[in-house]
Amino acid sequence: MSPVLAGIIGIAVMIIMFMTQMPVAFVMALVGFIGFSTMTSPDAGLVLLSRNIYETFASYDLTTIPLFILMGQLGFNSGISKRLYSAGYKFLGSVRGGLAMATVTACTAFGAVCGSSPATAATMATVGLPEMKRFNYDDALATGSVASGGGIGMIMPPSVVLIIYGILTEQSIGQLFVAGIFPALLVTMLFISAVYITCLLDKNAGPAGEKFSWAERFKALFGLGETLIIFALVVGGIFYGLFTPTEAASVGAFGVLVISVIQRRLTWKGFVKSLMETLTTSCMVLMLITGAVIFGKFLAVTRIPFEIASWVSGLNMAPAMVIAVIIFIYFLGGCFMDALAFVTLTVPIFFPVVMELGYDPIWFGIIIVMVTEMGVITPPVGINVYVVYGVAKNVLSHNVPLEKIFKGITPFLIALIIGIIILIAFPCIILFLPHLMYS
Amino acid sequence: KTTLRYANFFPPTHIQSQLAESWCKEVEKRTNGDVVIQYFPASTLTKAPQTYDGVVQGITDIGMTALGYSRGRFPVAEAIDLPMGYTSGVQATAVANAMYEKFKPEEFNESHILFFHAHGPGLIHTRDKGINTLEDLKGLKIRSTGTSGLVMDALGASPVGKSMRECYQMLQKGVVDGSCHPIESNKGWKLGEVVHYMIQNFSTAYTTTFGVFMNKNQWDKLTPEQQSAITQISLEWAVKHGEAWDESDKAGMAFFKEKGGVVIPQSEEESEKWRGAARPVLDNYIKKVSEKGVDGKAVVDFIKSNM
Amino acid sequence: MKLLDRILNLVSDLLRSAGALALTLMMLITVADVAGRFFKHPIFGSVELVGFFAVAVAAAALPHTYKVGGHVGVEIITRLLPRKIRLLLDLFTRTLTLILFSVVAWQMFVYAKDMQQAGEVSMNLEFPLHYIVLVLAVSLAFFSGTILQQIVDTVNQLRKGTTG
Ligand code: NA
Ligand code: NA
Repeated sequence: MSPVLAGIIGIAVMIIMFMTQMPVAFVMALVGFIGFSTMTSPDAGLVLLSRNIYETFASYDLTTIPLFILMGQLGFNSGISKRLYSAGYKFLGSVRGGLAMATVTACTAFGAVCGSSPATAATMATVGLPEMKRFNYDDALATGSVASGGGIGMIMPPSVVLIIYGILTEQSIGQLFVAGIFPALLVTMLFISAVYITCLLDKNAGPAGEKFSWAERFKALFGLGETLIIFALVVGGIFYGLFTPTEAASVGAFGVLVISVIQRRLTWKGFVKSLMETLTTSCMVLMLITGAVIFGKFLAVTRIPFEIASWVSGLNMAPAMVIAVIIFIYFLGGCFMDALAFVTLTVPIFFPVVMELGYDPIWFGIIIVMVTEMGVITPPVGINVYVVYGVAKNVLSHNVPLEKIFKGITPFLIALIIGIIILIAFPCIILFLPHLMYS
Repeated sequence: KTTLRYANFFPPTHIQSQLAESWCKEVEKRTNGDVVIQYFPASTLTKAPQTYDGVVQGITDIGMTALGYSRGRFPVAEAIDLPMGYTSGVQATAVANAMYEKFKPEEFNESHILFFHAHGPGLIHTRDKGINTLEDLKGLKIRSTGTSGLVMDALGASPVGKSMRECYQMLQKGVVDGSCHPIESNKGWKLGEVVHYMIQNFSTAYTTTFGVFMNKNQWDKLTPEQQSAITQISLEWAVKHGEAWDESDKAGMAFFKEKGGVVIPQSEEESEKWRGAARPVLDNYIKKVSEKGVDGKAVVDFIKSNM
Repeated sequence: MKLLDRILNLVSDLLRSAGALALTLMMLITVADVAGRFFKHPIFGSVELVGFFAVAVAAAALPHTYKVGGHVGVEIITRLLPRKIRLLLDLFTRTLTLILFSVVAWQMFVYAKDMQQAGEVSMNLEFPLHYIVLVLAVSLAFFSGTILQQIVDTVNQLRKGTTG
């Protein structure tokens, strides 16, 4: 069997097995294992399984996931997130979809602290989903906004994807980080517009509430106190060099714990509940990542990503067309593979081609992150969607069907595509800040 | 026709990865296309810490990784990474290969060794404060792992054991005061953007040894002609890797200076003082491995006489 | 069977408590390291300790997460199927899962043994890594037990469904 055929069969089998309701993570691991064994040897496949599970569980980069989830859980069980959303509601409740807009903005703010998108999605889902439900928001809009908003964390610095891109292509990581700020804000605005339009089209998606007086609004601001203290502590700590973004997760969780204990809002029972819920959610997220990694190793060994990339580099087309083809390939690749893995595999091959065409390396890096962001929410392998699905099952009293989340994603996906087109048409949105600061 | 998989953690743009790739091409050429090697850079097949194990277990057929990632697994070869006072990558590479030829440590019995290479002197780089004397270093937080961490401890600094991946951010924000790394990394990991002083502490310079390993079964399956061709190529490439480390160090130095970095030389007297302060690291090594039945002193002495 | 059930439930609860403790320690160690670094006394091996506890957190949660259906599955199609077929499909996928994870557990024990023989230790603290892999292997073994428990449960439901 040719490797490429094996890869295609593997993808098909994976999609079919998804339909049996076997956990997505286990399907990816199983198909990846069998595929890898076919391409190499069963012994190698067995070793691959055990090593990758250990490696993912022990990865220091991924330790932020349980800790950020814990932070969200503590915020939830101590009522901090409830007060945060109540305040938000006093200000934005009268606007249709206002809370979803606030959630997207909160994702961007959280992205300034957290570099991992599943961690952002899981934390924001824990905090945001029950609250949006409380104000009768449609499940599709609520889940869609946290799953997509979670991805903004990758564009907003710090960003794991940008660090890897910077090392792969020998670009300044500082410049890449700075370059990400305006695109992140652009995406936030586009997502807010997506919420607005969704609510225009469907009156029940994000129902408008009563209007509050300014006196009531200012009173509600006191409910924001703790959140602001924690946010200032974490962002300030990173900014002043007290700790790294990886450590910020622990500091944040600890901060929430201390504040809620001082305010006597967290009982021992609430604390234990937070820990237990965090265990379950983290286990789910980490297994998803492990599955995606194992399946990715199988696709790597079929060499499909390499073949596609070298095919593109041989294309003789207008520069804009080549860029379009590359973006489309990243879109497809992001559908089937862990987006970060796909970036590592293919950037080295695409990068020289794009440079040859005369594009800016920093600009291309941000474009890559934008398409990666699409990858985390597109089916069938869309980590953020599964993460939010899992969290929703946990924090809501009812089940949100998967297709509902995918439906909720659609407006945001369109917003991302528009964002990419804008960034291609106006590269200065990306390049303005780095040029200002580095020359 | 034999197809082999080669896993490397170096990103494809890194010269060490490009050399590995050209090694693959050369093997294909000199075996008349009978041995074809699929190359997987940037940890796409196995991550650095799992690469050696991956070769032994057959996830990949060939792999390049730093020995330091499998701490404890290579008690004899570990000695190469000690602060012997390296001055170049060519020197460190020659030492590493000579050491292997001389001792043929049994710790490598599970794989076939193709060759070793090692980077140039690992030096201390700081952010805000130049280091002129040992006293200046006291209590500074220096990012360093494994052997270099031990050296920092011995020199009186406070080692912060974080990976290279996190190094840039930590230095940029001042989470640490400095970092211990080869000159090359100023450009390769962009660290030159965030450090401003480089101390020429050659007398306590460490290195990191990288090995290129092959799965034993796969090696045995090759014909004697193929084996000797690969061995010959590996001999040639070991030298190239060493030279490449020195070239990278030059580029790293140029980058460091271009960003306004200051190089602080060390007097003969000061560097003797540092050497003395780092001596316990060597002694501890000898003591530690003797418990495992390894004559650490013989290894250390051999390396010193081959510097 | 009842006794085995009770033992497995007890172990699952114990593992969760251990996981909760590990999670708390992860947080506290990092905070202590950050604070210590501020006063020039960082905890040298903090990264490794946090990594070790991270393994314990995820591993300890394996049995419980599976039992409560915490893993994400696609129910777009299965939702439309009659109960009996759904249970049969469940039985099939649970059996596949059992095979997969029994193999993984067994491989993890082999990995732990390999690591012990190779004498691999962590980079900074020089802590023997095979203990960590062993923790993971033991958790995976109990996880396999939990899957078996769920299979028995599914079979029972199927029986009830056909007789009643
Ligand atoms: Na971020
Ligand atoms: Na996807």
